[in-house]
Amino acid sequence: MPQPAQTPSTDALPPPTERFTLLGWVYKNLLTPWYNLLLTVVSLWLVYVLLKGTISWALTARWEVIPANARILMVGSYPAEYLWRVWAAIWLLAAIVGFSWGVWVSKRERVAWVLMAVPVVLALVSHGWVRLAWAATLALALAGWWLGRRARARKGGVWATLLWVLYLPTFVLLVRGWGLPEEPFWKYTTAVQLAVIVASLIAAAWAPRVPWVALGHAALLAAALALPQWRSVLLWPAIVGFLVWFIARRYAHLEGLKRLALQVGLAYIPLLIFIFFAYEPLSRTWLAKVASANWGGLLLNILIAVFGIMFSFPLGVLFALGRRSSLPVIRLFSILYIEFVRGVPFITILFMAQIMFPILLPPDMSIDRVVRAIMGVIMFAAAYMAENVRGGLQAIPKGQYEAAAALGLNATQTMLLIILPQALRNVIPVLVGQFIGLLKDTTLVTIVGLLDILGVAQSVLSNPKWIGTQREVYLFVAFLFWVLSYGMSYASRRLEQALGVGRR
Amino acid sequence: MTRKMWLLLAVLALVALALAACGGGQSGEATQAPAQEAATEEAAGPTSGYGSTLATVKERGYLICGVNAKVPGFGFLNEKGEYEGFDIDFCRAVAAAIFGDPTKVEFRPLNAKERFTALQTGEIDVLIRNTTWTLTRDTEVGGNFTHTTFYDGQGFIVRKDSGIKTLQDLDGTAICVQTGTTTEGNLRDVLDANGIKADVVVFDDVEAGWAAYEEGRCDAYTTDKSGLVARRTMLKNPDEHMIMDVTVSKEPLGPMVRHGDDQWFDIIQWVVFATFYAEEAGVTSQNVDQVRDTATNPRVRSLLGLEGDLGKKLGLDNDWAYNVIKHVGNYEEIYNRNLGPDTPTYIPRGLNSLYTEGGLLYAPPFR
Repeated sequence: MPQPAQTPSTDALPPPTERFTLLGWVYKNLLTPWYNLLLTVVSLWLVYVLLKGTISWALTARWEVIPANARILMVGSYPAEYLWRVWAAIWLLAAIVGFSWGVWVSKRERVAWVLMAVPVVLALVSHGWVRLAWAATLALALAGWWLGRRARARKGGVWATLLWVLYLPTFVLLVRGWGLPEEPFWKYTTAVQLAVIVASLIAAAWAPRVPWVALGHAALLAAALALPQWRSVLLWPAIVGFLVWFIARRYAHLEGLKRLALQVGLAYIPLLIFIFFAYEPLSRTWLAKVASANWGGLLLNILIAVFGIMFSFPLGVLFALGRRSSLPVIRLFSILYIEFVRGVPFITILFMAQIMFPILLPPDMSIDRVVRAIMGVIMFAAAYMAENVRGGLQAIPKGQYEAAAALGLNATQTMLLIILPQALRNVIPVLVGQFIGLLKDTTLVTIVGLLDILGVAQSVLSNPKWIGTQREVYLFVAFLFWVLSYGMSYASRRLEQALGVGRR
Repeated sequence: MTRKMWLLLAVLALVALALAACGGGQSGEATQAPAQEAATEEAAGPTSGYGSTLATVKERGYLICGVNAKVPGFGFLNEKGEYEGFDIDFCRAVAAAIFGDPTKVEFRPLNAKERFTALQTGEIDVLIRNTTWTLTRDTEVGGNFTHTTFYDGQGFIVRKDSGIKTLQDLDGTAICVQTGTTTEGNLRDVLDANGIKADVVVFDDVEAGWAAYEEGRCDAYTTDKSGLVARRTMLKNPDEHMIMDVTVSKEPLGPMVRHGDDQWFDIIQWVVFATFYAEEAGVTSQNVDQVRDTATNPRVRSLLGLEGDLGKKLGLDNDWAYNVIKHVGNYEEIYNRNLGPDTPTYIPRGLNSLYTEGGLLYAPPFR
């Protein structure tokens, strides 16, 4: 039976009758067919059961434990009189972040609002002078940003880099303070040590072709090795002086080196004045040393994580290169190290660092407990870092090496300019994943007796006043770590976008 | 051009920083970079030999005391970030005896495994961290225990309304205990020895054991008394439970010092005795000034440094014990402040009473 011929008008689609309505969506997705209805009912019941317990607990929980112990959760037993130094470190960081933002970021980014929201939220939940301190943080960040915008055209990038390089030592200086040197003549020996380094720089700038300057360093080194009583005074300046001279010499053809050497030479004079007149009074009053036993809480976690990341990253890259090296000794050592460390649990390494190091060291020598923990973290993280970086290295096609060779680059240049930038960019997600893991792993130091945020939490739970508040305290700690980890993850995604990972 | 210069400067700064950080390996040298010094803090090394520890402590200007920061009543951080607790107070007492100032002490929180290493390597001067005095620790581990400050031991917690008061009352009850611990073996020994027939309910997990006790599946729960105290306050209605005045194992907890410095041992030992004797003689932090003005008892007079030169014999000032009592208190004050009836961590004194009240605290004469 032949179909009647259809006119084009009947061929056209009917106008859409179905509009999006909430009820329609619910009906279509949740209520039909019958098994969806069943799933919906079961899920709703589950959610109800879970939420009921959680909410009724959350409403009756003793949340006052958090504000009451907020300070020790953040900084442990850090003395109250020096708390302003931790604040100063935070303020500096805010100002530098703001400044760098102003210099480097031209678009309006959503991240900026998120970043600014942090001090705002913290100011809202805190009270008293802590609120003021957070307000100051925000103000400094904005001031930094304003300065950064203005500095953009005037070597702003250089300034920002310099600020970041100087931040870490400043941070350590502020948090730790300094002690009075035990040595009676420290003022004079320090002056001599600095003089050696300054002189090395000046020699490199004005007489770069004179090799006998190195003989001076060698003589110093020989004196340091031959005379035990002078060793501690001469050893460091000899090595650092030589390095400064050796590196600076290569830039002697640049006009600026002489000016730089002159500036450093001039800076030596106020430095001397500082050493002779200001160091002691300052270390007795404002910048007195805070022993590492008093560093605690989140401050300690962040300290360990930052140092762990900073030092394990280059070390890991070195091990990754070592493992692919054609030199058998280096390759074997790298493989042994990586496989040994990866074959041992992190806790074991931490225990070794805490308990074995002091026994292995000569009796008149001791390494600070926090430094030992950081060393353990670096040892552990470097091995994993090496394997991640190796993955990135292996993904680089051979053509890249050949192209670099064709351009006339030597092995070091090939690695630094061609291979590593690509390899590292490829493994950013993995590396950030590892950094996040490292940050969370820092809480394991609580097992070796350090009072990091988890250790402080346990101490709070031992305070007769707060016994029984495990859920509140641990939930708070978990939330803090989630915020930090998510923050890192978010930042890494922006970095990936900026570098175009995954698009090429 | 200038950009390269800045880069150079940055590189140099980094190199200096790295070298400074590596400086941790070298100890005790004049330092110009603070980061370098961070690594070489207190390169004291183990001090052994008569008088060396006191000399080190005095030169340093403060005492370093190894503590536990996670035991209710014995050591924890309060909201202000200060250490508090029974063991902590004895650290402060030693500081008060040496410096006349109970704040001249740095607390090093230690865990159970590293505490002896820390003592051996000289990282701490004295360990006051709920450590049980045993023969092995007195010999092989290389320590000496001074007089015990707290006689701990396995105890029982029961409901107040259960009417259980003595060991015999446990007959026919169910007792919860963690399996695989010395506590379980102890419990069975004690029950057998006393002919008590009780149902021993074992749990792998501490939490599960406590949950069972709280649900009423057991009439009693047993572990070390200090542990019972910590846990009692975590029960839903702590006031409905009490710790029985019965102790069935020996856990003498006290300060530990290194082998080799007898003077230092004597100082710690006699600081502990001073708190005992002050309680016995009725000298408290409140009345010590008054007693010093009016005391006639020659022993009390020499305790407070009014007669003789007991302090000098220890290498301390003659008012060392006065400072201990004035700033920290006598044993009863220390006990009641941390473990007394007015605290949530109340433990009946039991063996930790003066010998005159049936306890084990007995200070040799101060003469």
